[in-house]
Amino acid sequence: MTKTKKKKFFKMGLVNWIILIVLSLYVILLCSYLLFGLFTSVNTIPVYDEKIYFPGAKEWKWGFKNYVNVFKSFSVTETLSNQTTIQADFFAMTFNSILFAGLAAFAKCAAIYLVAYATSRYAYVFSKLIYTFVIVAMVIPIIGSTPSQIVIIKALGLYEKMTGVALVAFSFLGMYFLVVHAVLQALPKDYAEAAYLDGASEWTVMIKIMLPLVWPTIATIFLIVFIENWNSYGYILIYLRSYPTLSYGVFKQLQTSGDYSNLMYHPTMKIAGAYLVALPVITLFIVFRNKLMKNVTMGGVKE
Amino acid sequence: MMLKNKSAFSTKKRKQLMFYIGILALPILQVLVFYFYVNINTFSLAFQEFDGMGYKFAGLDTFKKVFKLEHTIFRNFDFKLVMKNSLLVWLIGLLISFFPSLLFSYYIYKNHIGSGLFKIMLYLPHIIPHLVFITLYKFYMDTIPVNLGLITSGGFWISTVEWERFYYIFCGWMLGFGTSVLVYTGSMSGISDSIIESGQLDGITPLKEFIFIVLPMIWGTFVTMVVASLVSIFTSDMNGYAFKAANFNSQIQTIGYFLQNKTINGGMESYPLLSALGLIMTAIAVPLALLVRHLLTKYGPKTE
Repeated sequence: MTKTKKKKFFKMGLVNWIILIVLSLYVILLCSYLLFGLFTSVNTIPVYDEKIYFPGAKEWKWGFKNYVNVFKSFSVTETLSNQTTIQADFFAMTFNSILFAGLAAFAKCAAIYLVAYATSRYAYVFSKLIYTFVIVAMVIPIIGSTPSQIVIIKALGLYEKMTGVALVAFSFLGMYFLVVHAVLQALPKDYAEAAYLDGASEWTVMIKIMLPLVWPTIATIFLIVFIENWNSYGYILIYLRSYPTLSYGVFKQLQTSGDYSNLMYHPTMKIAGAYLVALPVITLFIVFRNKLMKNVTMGGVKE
Repeated sequence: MMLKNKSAFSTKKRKQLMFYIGILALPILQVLVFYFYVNINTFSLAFQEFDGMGYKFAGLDTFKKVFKLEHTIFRNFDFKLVMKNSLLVWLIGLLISFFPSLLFSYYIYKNHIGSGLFKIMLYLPHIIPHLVFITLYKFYMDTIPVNLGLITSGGFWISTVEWERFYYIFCGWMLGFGTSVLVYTGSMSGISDSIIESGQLDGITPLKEFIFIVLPMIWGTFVTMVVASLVSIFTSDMNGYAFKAANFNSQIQTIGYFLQNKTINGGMESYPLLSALGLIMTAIAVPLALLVRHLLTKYGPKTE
């Protein structure tokens, strides 16, 4: 600890000390959940059943058998609306997760960029109207509209179809539109004007000149939306049971309790399965943590 | 020459307009279908009923059924209790998470001891899938407190309604606490350094700095968070569906859980009733949110 930090540490007031204690307790508790999960996922079933949850006891044995079992046996069986039954194993669920999260993130980012570009670069009245509408839609929510959405998605023939994901996700509404709009508006017009003088078309300017300039923001939003959808089970549960994802698999597994006749229902397996689902997003977080953390401060622009 | 220039200019304008319409057409169509039509259809559904084959106009009958709780979906549904639960969860959230978050954010913003670590750790529950966290929480709470002798058995949490409520609220707090802290911290980081420095030169105390400089500067974010939290009274399900699917304890269920559960499990017959109930909740939530927003903006601290 440097001298200034030491000084700061001892000069903290009572309120700061209380905050430090509460935040530390939060972190300790969070870490203890994660460590408990980690140790349980590598624990053996008999040792866990003996109520030994952490290393230290002589009975403690660890290994990756639970993870191997999850790879081999983690599966979900679903009966669809047309009464056919489908079964998805771990690899099928992983593929569905990537497809679902990737498609939703791509569609969302594409819609946001198109609308933000149009409304920030062209000063038509309609542009202002769209911008105002996005804010109004954020402030005024309609509660209980999911049944209506189910009816419409079924009527459009998009129920239990992956194409439905792309169409539903192709929405520019929400905070990210405002972020991209602000970034585009802050960019100087010189680049585009120089390209126009060189004979570039509107499409060329939008794709080849402006998109690279906002790419870091778009990429961060893609990452966030991808993670949100990777983690989501709600959409699959309501609209897309034909493509069970890993998160949906964890949800289904969580609902089984007490009956350990199926090996996959045992807590060690459930937690190993949950960790495998979390692994890709935790890896993404570790690699891109600065970009992701910066998102939280996107709204605040220093003068 | 001038005419030629004028014609070239209008051609350019026309091309621009065509391009503008071209890139907006699909996103606007999407919003027309999945926002406007979905919401209009919610209104329409609320005045219909399902006759086994399809929906037909039922006038105000659906609303009457909702007010009288006259349908099988309302079995075990005590409206007063559900509203009480929803308000209680919101109020507790406000006390244990919402207001303390401001102080915790200020701590991190001021870069006190451990701020960097806290920032990462608070962001973590936002990254880890909620279901993964809920899985860990469930097994941890069922085993570790028993092992430590803090509770008698894993079933302790469902021994009384209040303990069960605490169990879910605490999980929600663990999951959501970080997000509000980081949103406020993000907002605080937008405050100009010169404003803070000028205050410090005047010998301002940290408490005064928080109340008279920081709070007014982030008031907009605070108001948005309050409004969002008001809407959550009618949408929050306490993670009940993730924990228990359709089997959540009816004594602690919220209106958000009820709407979600019945949407998933109630079938097409329940959709008009749920739409009507949703509209009634919207009719309460929207004016309430707008009023609170107006009051907070009008009487809240101002930046000068």
